Amino acid sequence: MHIHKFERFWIKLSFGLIAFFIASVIYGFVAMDLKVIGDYQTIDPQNLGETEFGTPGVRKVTKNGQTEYEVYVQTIQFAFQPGTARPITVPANTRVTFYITSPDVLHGFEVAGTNINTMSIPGQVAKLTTIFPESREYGLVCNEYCGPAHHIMEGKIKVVPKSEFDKSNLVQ
Amino acid sequence: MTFLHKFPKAAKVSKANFIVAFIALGLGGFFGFIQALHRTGVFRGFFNSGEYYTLLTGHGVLLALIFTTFFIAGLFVWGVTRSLEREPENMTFTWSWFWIMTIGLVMAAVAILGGLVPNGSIRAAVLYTFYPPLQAHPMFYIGLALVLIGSWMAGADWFWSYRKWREENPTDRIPILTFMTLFTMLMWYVCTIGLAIEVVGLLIPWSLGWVVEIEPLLPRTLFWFFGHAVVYFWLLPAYYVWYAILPKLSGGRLFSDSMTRIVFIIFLILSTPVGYHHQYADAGISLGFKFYAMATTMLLLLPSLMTLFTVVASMEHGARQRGGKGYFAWVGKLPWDRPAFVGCALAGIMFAAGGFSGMINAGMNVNLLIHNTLWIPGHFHLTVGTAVALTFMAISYWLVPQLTGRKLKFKTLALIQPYTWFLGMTLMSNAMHRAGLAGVPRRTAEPEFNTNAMSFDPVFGTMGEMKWQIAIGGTILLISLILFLWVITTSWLAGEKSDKPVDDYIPEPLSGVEHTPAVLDNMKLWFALALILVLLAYSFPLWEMIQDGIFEPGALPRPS
Amino acid sequence: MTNSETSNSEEGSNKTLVRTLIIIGIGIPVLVELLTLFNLVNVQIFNDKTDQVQRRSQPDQAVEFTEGDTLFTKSNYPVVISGMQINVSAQEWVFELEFRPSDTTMQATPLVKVDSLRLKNGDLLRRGQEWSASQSKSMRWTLPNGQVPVKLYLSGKELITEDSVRNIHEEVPLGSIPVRYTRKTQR
Ligand code: HEM
Ligand SMILES: [Cu+2]
Ligand SMILES: [Cu+2]
Repeated sequence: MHIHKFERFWIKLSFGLIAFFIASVIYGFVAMDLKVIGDYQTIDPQNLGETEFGTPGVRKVTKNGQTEYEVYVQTIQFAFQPGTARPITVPANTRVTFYITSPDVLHGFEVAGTNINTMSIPGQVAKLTTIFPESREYGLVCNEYCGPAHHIMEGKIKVVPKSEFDKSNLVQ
Repeated sequence: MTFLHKFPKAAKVSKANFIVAFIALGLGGFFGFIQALHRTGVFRGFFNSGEYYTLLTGHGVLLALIFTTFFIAGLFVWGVTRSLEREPENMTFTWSWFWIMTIGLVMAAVAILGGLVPNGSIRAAVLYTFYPPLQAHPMFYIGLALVLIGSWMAGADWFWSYRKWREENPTDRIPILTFMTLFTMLMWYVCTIGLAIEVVGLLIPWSLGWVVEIEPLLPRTLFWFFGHAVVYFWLLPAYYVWYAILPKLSGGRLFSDSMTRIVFIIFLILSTPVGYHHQYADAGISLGFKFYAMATTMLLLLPSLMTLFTVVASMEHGARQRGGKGYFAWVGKLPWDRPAFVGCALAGIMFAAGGFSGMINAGMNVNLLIHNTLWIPGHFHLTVGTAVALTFMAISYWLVPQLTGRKLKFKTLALIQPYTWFLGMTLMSNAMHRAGLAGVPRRTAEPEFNTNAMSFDPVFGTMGEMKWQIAIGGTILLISLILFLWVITTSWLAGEKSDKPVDDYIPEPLSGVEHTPAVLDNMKLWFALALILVLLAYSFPLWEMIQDGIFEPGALPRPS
Repeated sequence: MTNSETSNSEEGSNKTLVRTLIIIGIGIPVLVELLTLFNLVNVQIFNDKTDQVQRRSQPDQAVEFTEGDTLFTKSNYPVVISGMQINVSAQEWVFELEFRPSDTTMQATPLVKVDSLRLKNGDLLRRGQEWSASQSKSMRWTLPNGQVPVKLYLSGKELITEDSVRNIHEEVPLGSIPVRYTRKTQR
């Protein structure tokens, strides 16, 4: 088969580019600790009441001697619980792990302008861990179409300085 | 003598498919315009926000599924007939696939538009991805299944022609137009396995109420088994035009026959196992498989980059034939006053830009920044919305005269059309990308925070400026679309009759088929390889999902 | 080669047209993209913290009423919003509102009335509902699909003496109203 010499060169260049992209993703994982949601962990979407999701909210846990927080969020048509009626309040500079699932249809859980962004799928539990570096408010957006009032589904995450974090609202 | 006179039966089939495609394009495009005004808040008087999703379903289904499929069918009928020099084997069969697809389309469209009837019970506001547990009227799923079955039969029709031709020409190489058609259809057969299982096996029984519960992740995964490859089902026919016809329109000939075949083979093999890249943000699919899909996706850059080379090289050859000189000055010698050429060339340029934003989507961690934001429609209006749609429109200026035996009318308007599409799409897509970076969600009638005194924070620019850019871009696109439909309709009905309405001769490639290794034509080999790669990617996760029961963990249906 | 179709007379005007089209149709897009690139690079490299300035101090939030809030506080017949929700089904959006008296020992029984609702798109839903402020009352409105009420217009009538009536009007801006899916609309 005849391949023109320019074309040979171009194909080599293309392979180089592809290798570079794959490497950059790997680098993101290893060096920058970027996380992607994985794991197959199912839950019965019609009986969330009997799980931690039955009392959604922020909990305090101790892991390896460190204080961390866990947030159980139900995304329902058409609200984040918690998140919509009252903001999810967490302290800055602390590990926070979100557990997110849905009792009804698919929803999105997007903290606007950040890479905290996951699908909420009935029957699956999405888990993601993050540390909010600064205290500020973030908009919470449902970015997966979930029915006629989808555009109304929104919420707020309030990150407060560690010292001002009010522990009286925690879920036990 | 043009196509109409040589193959009147096939011309009729092509024309029928094009008519359906153009109606879908007009209606879907009009919905797009309404969306652009509504979601930016520029004008919300057409429909209520609750009805937005009915329109959006119409836009997605009519454009991404119907316009593309029918246009492609018309294009392939033309190409197979022409390159094998034979009419379809059995006109009853040919017309039956056309009518099955059309009936299916009408059923789906009625179910969708039923959502605009106040208090109607026939509704399908589930968007073109129709993820359960949101549920549409059964007519919607049955209609889609019919379109799918019709498209399978269309593919069978082309294989049938090929088999007959092969009996009469045992030693010839597969002509390039037919080769591209058959490989595109092979890929279509591989990827639609997922869609067929989803729609026929899960959604139709569920929408009819035979089963009550459904596991949302399984159909979603099956959808994306199909959902990325369908992108190439749209794109390969555009490549077909760029490889086979664009070189001629630029005054030259195809650069290399063998490279063309290799590119199509790579697409057949790699298109389907990449589906998880639409599910990077899903729980329930392990990282390893997401990683496999990511690497495969990146590899798929190769055939597109090779296409870029071949297309540019062919155009350069054409320009030099027309007297072009210099390293870059030859670009000026291209026929920038020919609508068909201009449309294809601008579509190609836009595809390069779309490829760039696509690479960002493919990076599985950066992806989370833009997943399900307006960035995504920004991206695919460059690819399917322009690279594919504008190529189809542009090549219609060259094909429709051959099919109708009439010359093109309003050539000046036809020339203005691709330039306006390019302008409108740049404005709309550019602002969509930027809004997406700020977190503005897609598929949302009123993407603004209502009550929490919050707002999106763009990296630069302001939200207001982006809204206007999207609305103005959408308006220019609508104007461009009207120009296209006007030129095609008037030419079709009232163009000057002619024996040779366009120059439809296609010259041989520079590096012809005699240099092409025979193994490239071995369809069984490549088809088997494609199936193996799909099995590697999908068997384990699907098995894991159905272990606890096909419909478990089950959720209840939610009528949309 | 392929120029046979274009007649030479058109050539001249065609040239200016093509030039204009290229300038507008390709020039503007290139400009837009270059501007974006420039801004992106600018922000990345010279991140001059303009966003600190941009993060506007939030406007003083106007008082908004939600479930549990009391209306007609200045009169002697306050009422409480005891329930407020929008029920959305595939076909219909229904706004449900419930009031109860804040003080059950009220002697006079003035009449209160929801005159109309202001919707987010600016439309006014008339269809008033009147009841006695000493009782609980629930009411519902069918909304145009996708529209959300943002304001209530209420009026109250109180008999001061036998034949003198005092009218009070109140505009009640609504805060966020819970929106929930219902499978069927109950009638
Ligand atoms: C007149 C030209 C067009 C305009 C103004 C337009 C506008 C839009 C807008 C604003 C959206 C985003 C809606 C949202 O996410 O809320 C959208 C979505 C979409 N467009 Fe277009 N569009 C046009 C042409 C096309 C074409 C030609 C195609 C494909 C052939 C296409 C395919 C799609 C698809 C698949 C979606 C996604 C639908 C979904 O998210 O379910 N559009 N369009
Ligand atoms: Cu939603
Ligand atoms: Cu894809």
